[in-house]
Amino acid sequence: MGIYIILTLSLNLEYGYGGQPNFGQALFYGMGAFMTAILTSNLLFVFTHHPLANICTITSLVQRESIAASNPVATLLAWAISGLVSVLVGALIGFAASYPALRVREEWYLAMVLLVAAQIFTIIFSYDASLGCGFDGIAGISNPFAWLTSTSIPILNSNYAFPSIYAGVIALFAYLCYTLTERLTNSPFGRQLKAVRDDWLAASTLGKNVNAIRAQVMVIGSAMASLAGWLYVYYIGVANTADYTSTFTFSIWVMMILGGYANNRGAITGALVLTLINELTLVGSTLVQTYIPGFNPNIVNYSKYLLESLLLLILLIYRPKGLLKESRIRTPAYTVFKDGEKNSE
Amino acid sequence: MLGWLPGSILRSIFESGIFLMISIGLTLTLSVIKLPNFAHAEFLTIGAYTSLVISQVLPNNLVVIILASFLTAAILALAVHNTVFKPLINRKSSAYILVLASFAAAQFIRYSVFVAGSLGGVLSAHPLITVTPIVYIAGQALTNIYLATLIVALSSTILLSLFFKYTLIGKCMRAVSSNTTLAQLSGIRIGYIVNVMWILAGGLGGVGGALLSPYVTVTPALGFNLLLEIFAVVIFGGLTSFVGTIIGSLIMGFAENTFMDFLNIYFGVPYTYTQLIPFSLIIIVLLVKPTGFGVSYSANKALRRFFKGN
Repeated sequence: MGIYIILTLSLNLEYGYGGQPNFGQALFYGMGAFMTAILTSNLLFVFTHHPLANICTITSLVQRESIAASNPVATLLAWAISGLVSVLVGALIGFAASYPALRVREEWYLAMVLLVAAQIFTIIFSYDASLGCGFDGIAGISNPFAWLTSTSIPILNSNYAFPSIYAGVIALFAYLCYTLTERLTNSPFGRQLKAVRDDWLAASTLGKNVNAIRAQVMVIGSAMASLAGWLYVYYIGVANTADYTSTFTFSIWVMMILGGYANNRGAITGALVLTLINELTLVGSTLVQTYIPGFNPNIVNYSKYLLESLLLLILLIYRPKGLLKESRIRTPAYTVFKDGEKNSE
Repeated sequence: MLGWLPGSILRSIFESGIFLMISIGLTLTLSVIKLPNFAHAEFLTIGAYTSLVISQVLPNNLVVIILASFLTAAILALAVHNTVFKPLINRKSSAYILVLASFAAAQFIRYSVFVAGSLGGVLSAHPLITVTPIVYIAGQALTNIYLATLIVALSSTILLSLFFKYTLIGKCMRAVSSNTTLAQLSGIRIGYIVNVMWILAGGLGGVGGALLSPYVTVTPALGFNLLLEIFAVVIFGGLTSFVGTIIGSLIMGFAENTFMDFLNIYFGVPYTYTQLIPFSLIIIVLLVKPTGFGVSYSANKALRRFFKGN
């Protein structure tokens, strides 16, 4: 769920505050993921002085998993480096993606371009064996704390330890991202963003560099999404293009609108609700399977998507601002101002 | 040497016809109510499924199948408009909200079809319409579906142009698309016109789906897979121009078939990259020439005046 939070926060930044509809968020997410996967696989070998063989074979996978289970330094180092690189790459691509934002004629063209770009990414990575190991994706990216199982410390030794530690790490990053976006948006920069979003013509006549602001917000948002991809790949262990489809981008949008756009706490709420729905449908499908054998469990799976879209539709028609409303920008100056007001009464 | 060419060209023409049928609906919604309808592909799916279902009962009865697909897709279009789009448009929502809503509606319809399909066991099936060759041109077979598609596409194009030019409703629709407020002031009932438009848009999409169905396996994701390509057709055509859609569908059909064959045979590009052509073209067109390749009505007039020396 922490990963969803990060993703929703990034989209919120780009659309809620910046007004850029990023329908290709999955692209940045997936790019981060794939970069991570490729880098890690190769780095692990580099650090342990193994020959750099083809990372797509099963032997290579087994080798990588054994390295991860035994060699803490290599694993953690690979994790950290791939994280840095994927964030950088995400930022670069986000910068490149901001160019269409300046050039397109109608509003929704940007959404279209990004959607198409994400689709192209999916196609290239699923079919080109040299880039992404084809349909199956890159596997064998173990949890960066898997080596704990071979230590002799009793609690950390168990098989429950390292996933929960990693979950804690994800939560830490989610919290960091939340703090970052809160600071970003509750500041003069946040005010600029909202101004550009609401009326870019007025903002530019007041002297704000609209293009630069838009580029900045795209860069930060994409970097965050790549971060999420990096964390996600380590969590799941596989980088597969099927996870980064446009349907998933849509889910991120649902999360954002559900919780309320332009509101960071709303983004978290949205992510929460959607995770709940996901979990509930999973539980529901296993329940259904046990009680009504022969009933196709996929139906309950489909119901997840049905619920998502229905929720979004109802929201859009009846409460477009989402569950939590857009709040004022609370810069330090503003807080002081408010306190001053209260004190003087 | 060029032995692959005739078959390729014929396939391109066929695909252009299908794309034309489907994309006219999208052009209509874009021009009349300024709505980029991401749910449009679902009309295709519904049309294909109607053809599937009806062909179980009345196999090979093309006329009934086409009419039935038109009807079901039209009903769906009306339903979608009145529940989802009308409230949003009346509230003057931004284009993004409309896009999101249409995406959500598309997902809802698609997964309902998934549910219905898996309940009925038809998640991926083939309609009982036999594709029989009728005529042979240059060693390639022209099947009955092929000819049907050509007939339907050409006749609907001609009928639609006549509709827009000579009938009252057609002229009202053009008025609404060019300036909604003035149209209202002139006494045109916008709601009625918009409903007619949705019937046309959805119905034609459904017919396109029905015509496509004998050649493909019908799955609930059939429409969604083609969605971006349909948008590509419309974008090439300049979004709101009828002639542009025709040009766009021709470009699309030929790009996907003949051009891809060319790339494959001479450069060894695998067929799995077929979808990249329209997608990259979309990005290029949107960035370089967002008005597309269509010829708008006013440009036509300007050209004529220029050549007549007026």
